[in-house]
Amino acid sequence: MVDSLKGMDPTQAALLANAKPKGKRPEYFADTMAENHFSITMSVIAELAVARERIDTLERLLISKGVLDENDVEEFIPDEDASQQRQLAQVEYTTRIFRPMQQHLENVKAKDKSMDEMAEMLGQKDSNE
Amino acid sequence: MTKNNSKKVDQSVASIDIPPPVTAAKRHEFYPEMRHDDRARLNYIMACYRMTANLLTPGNQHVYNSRVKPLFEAKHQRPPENRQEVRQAMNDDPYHSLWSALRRNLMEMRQQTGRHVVLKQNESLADKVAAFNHDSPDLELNDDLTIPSYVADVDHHCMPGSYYTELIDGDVSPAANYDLGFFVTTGGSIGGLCDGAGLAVANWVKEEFPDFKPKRMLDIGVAAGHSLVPIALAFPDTEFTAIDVSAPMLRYAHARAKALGANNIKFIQMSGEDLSRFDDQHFDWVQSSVFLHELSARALPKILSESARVLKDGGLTLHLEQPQYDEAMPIFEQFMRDWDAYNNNEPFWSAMHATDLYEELEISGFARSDIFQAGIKAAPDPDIATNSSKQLKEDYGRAPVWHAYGALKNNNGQYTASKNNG
Repeated sequence: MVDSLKGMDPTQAALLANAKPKGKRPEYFADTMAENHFSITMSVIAELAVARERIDTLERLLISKGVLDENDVEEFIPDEDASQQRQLAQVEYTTRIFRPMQQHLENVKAKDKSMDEMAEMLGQKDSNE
Repeated sequence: MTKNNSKKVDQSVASIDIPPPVTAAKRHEFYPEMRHDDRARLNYIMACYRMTANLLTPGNQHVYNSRVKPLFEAKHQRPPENRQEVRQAMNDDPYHSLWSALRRNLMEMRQQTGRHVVLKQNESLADKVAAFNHDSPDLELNDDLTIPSYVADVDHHCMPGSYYTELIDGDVSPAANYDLGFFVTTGGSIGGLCDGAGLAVANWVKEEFPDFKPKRMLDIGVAAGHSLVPIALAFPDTEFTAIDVSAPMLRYAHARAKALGANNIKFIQMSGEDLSRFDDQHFDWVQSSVFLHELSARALPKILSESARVLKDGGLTLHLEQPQYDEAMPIFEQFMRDWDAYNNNEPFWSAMHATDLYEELEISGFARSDIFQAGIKAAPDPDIATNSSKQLKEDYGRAPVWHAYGALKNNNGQYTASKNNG
């Protein structure tokens, strides 16, 4: 039903849906970066809620169609192999999420040159590089 | 059980109401279609609004009392004197800033979701409404109307493009977005059709004026008709005229009203600032619902005086709003009520609510003794399931409680609003 409706090109609709209302946006945080980070986090939280609701829909449909019993999901205990795979997946997931903090620490430890410094160094003809 | 031995539960622990799902909104023929994840997105936003209202909003008063006010007093050797000073002090507080950011983002997300839903079906919606509205004598649009700056330059409640922007011919998408979003931001507290304000007004008028049989009623700033439709249904013998500056809202409102069974409303695209097409004393009742705060200091008196002019002697004018700020209202409450002015694109909100409406109504042509105010409450919609016993609780302008500022024309002070409602 919804798929037959006529409207804007989907990517255009997505862009226009994001449009900023007129008027300078209030600032709630000390810097723009924090402002944007908070807003992005709010959206990600919402999308996680959406994903959870979709999973809930799927579970309820599978139960109503007799594919699953009422407590199958709650009582599901994976076997040892599956448990290991799932915990690995959890670790991979959390590692991905906390990449910025890992890199932050690596950055502090490494005392790397900045790209500006590197560019200057690599641009010198009499460099040893 | 006596008070003293009830130690089991700490009564200060907040509980959170469970809001209804977006599917509890009552649909009509022109209501936009939503996909599973659109509904889930709006369900989440409603839950987050409710959690914020129940759990986080009270924290503002706490940080004000415990650190913001003491800090201000230490610095200035006096307490804050007005809502602007409270605002400046609170804006430096990290809890308040985070709470504000959360609420602002929720509104932006609600607009984003609603707009995405309707833009993907804007042609279908426009076609359906156009086919229904075709040649209707009850819809009169005026392409030549200049959109006043308080609508043209302000995207109220963070609604990109405001009420009037048309992206395609016959566009109704601003109204369809408004319709589905209204239920989300009110969390079902004013009913499945978001008609709580109108129902409350209709009941109030019938109780207060049992002999009032209005022949003609004018509604200024009808928007999508959420408040007017229940009034029109409650007064089936009255001819209603509903005006608004926005064509998309009027197209949608006309179709929506008829789909809901209200056939006694004529929708006209015009500004309330110029009612010259109506004779003096043309209407028995002139009303606006939660509209005055979206005007300007220049437009407000014009609309009130035009309203007074077209009203019959003995006729009723009624403007539904949030309560005005007065000396009896604590400045912290004024500050909280002002939040929408600065954070939800309602720039006239603060000045409007500080206006003396008694004085404005008097200037517009009513006798002081004929001017009144009354509190009007929405009854909970029995079709909306809720676990809440505190649905009517005030939430700084977001509870289903309004103040009506009204007057009877040349009535010699014979009416005083009932005291059972403020």
